[in-house]
Amino acid sequence: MARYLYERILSALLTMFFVTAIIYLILSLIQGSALTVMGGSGSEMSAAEYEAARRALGLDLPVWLRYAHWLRDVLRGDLGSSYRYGVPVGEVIAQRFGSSALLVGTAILFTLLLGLPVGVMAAYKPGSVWDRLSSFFALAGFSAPRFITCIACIYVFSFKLRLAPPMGMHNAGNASLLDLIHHLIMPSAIITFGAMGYMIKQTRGACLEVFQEDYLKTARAKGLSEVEVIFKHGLRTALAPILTQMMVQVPEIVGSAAIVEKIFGWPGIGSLMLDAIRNRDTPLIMGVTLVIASVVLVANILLDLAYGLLDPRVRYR
Amino acid sequence: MPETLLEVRNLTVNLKLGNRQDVTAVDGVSFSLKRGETLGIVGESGCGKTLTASAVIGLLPPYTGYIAGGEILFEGEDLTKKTARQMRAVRGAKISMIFQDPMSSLNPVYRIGTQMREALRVHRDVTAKEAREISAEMLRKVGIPLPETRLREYPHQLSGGQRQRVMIAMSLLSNPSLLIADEPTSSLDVTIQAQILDLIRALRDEMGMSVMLITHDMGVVAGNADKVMVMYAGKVVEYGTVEEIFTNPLHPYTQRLIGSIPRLDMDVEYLSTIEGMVPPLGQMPKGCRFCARCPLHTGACQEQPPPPFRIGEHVTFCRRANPDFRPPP
Repeated sequence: MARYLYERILSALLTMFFVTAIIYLILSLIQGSALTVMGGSGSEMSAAEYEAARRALGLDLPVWLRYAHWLRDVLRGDLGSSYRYGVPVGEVIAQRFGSSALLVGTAILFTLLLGLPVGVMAAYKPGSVWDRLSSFFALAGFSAPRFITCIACIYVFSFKLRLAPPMGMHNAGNASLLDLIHHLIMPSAIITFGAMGYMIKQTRGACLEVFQEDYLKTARAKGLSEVEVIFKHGLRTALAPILTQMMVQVPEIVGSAAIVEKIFGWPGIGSLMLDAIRNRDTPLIMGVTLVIASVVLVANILLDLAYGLLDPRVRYR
Repeated sequence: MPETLLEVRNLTVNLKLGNRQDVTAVDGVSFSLKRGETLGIVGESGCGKTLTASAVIGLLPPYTGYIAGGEILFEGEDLTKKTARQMRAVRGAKISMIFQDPMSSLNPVYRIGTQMREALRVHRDVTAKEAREISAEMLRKVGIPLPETRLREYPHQLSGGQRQRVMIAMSLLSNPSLLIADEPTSSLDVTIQAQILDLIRALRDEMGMSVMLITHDMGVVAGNADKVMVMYAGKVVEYGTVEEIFTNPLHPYTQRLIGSIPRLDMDVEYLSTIEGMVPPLGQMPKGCRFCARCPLHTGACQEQPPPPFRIGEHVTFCRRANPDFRPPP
C-alpha cells in the first residue's frame, strides 16, 4: 500500500514535469509577449526601453533556460510575480481559488446527486420512456458546447425571465449567503448539465451489467425491497467502475469551468487563466497550470485509493 | 401421512418479448409437494424448470415474466393472489432459494457476515451480536470450519464449494419450510457436488423442510428426490415417485434422459443422446411437443396434445404409454 502510494506520487510528479514543460514551450511559441500586450503597439516605449524591459523579464534568454529558471524557483517555493499585476502569483491564485472550488465543487456534487440515481433508473428498465428521456438529456448535455449553453441560459433566465443574475458572485454591497447562492445556481447548473450526461451514461452502463448478476437475485430471494436491492446491492457494487470513469471526467469539468467562469465573470482561477493567457502573463499561467494539474492528479490518486475501499477484491501492490 | 405443503395447479407463466406477442413458457404445470419431501424437476435448458420455481417464490424476471394463470397454494394460501409486499414477507422467511453459480450469487463487496445479517434482519428483529451468533451457528451446521473467521471474510476469499455452503446457510437462517435449489451443483466439481447434495438432504431431514431440486441431471435426481417431475418445452411430460420413474419410465423423453446417465456397471461405447432441439418459444407444435424428436410418434401425436395416462400417482403425457393404444394402420 505504502509502496503503491509512493509509486503513484512519483509518477504524478513526473507527469507534472512534462505538463509544465510542454505548456511552457507552447507559451513561448504564441505570438506576442507580455511586453507587446502591456505596451499596446509599443509606441510609448523607445527601442532601448523595450530592450531593457525585455531583459528585466528575462525574455531575452532561450526558452529552455527560462523554463529551467522557473522550475528552480518553483522547487524553492517561489512561483514568481505576475507580469501584469506585479504581485506574487501565489497571492493572486489564493484569492481566486476558493470561488473556483465552490463552483466546481457544487457542480461535482450535483453531478453525483443527480447523475447516479438517473443512471440507475435508466438501467433498471432499459428501453423505457425514462431510459430514452435520460439518454436524450445525457446526449444533449455532453454535446452542447458550453459557451452556447451559457449564452442561451443568460438570455433566457437573466434577460427574459429575470430569474438569475448573469454576472459575478455578488451584487454590489451584498455579501449574504443567499445572494451568493443566487449567483452560483446558473453557472454551476451549466457545468453540471455538461458533466451529468457522461455520469448518467457511465452509471447506466455499469448498472446494466451489475443488474444481471445473480447476487441481485439472492438479494430479492432474501425478501429485500426493490429499493434495497437496487441501491444497496446494485448501485453499491457498480460504484467502483463508475468511480474510475469519474477520474477521466475531472479534467473535463475543470476545463469547462474555465469557460463558464469567463462568461459569467466568476472570479475563479479558470477565468484568471484565460485572462493570463490573453496578457501573455507567463508566471501566472504557469502558476495556474500547476494548481489545476495538482488538483487533477491528487483527485486521481484519491479516487484510485477509494476504488480499493469500494471493492474489497482490489489489493495495492 | 405428512400434509401437503405446496400445491401448484395449472400454473402458466408468460414472457413479454418486446413488441412481439407474449409467449407461454410454462404451460399448465401442476404438482404437489408434501412436508419433508424433495421434488426433483428435470429437463433440458429452457424447458421451464427455473421459471416454474421462480413463479413459486415470486422471482420471475422483472417486467418480462408474469403468471398468466393457475394457482400456487402454499400452506393453504394462494401465492398468486399476494401483493409484492406480502410476497417479500414470504421470500427468505418461508421459501428460500439458492442458485446455480455460487461464484456470482454472493455480493462481492460485502462481508459474509454482513450478507447473512441482512438476510436475518429482513424478517427478524435481532441485534448485531445475536445476528453474528446465529450466523456462525448456521455456518457450523453447513460444515464450514472457523465460522467466526469466515463471517469477517469476503466471498472471493472462499472456494466455490464453501460459497455454496454459505448460500445454503444464508437461505436457511429463517428456518424456511421450502428450499428451492436451482441447479445447486451444476457449476461445482464432482466431489463437491456430492457433498453439497448430501448436505441439502441432511438439512432437509434435520429441519423438516421440503426441497425443490432443479437439475438437468437424472443421476442427481435418482439419489436425492422422492418425487420427480420431468418437463419438456414448458409442459410436464411425466410425474411420479422416484422409484416409478426409474423402474418404469413411460414417456420416451424420460426413457432417453435415463438412458443418457453414464453407468459404471455397463460397458457401453457411447452414451445415448437425444437428437434434435427443443422447439423455440412461441413456435410450439399443436400436438405433442416432443413429437419432432420422438422415434415412436404417430400421426395422432402431431395433431392433438397427448391426454394424461395415470397409474396411481404416476402420470405421463404420452399416447404410447397406454397399453391400449393402437397406432392406426
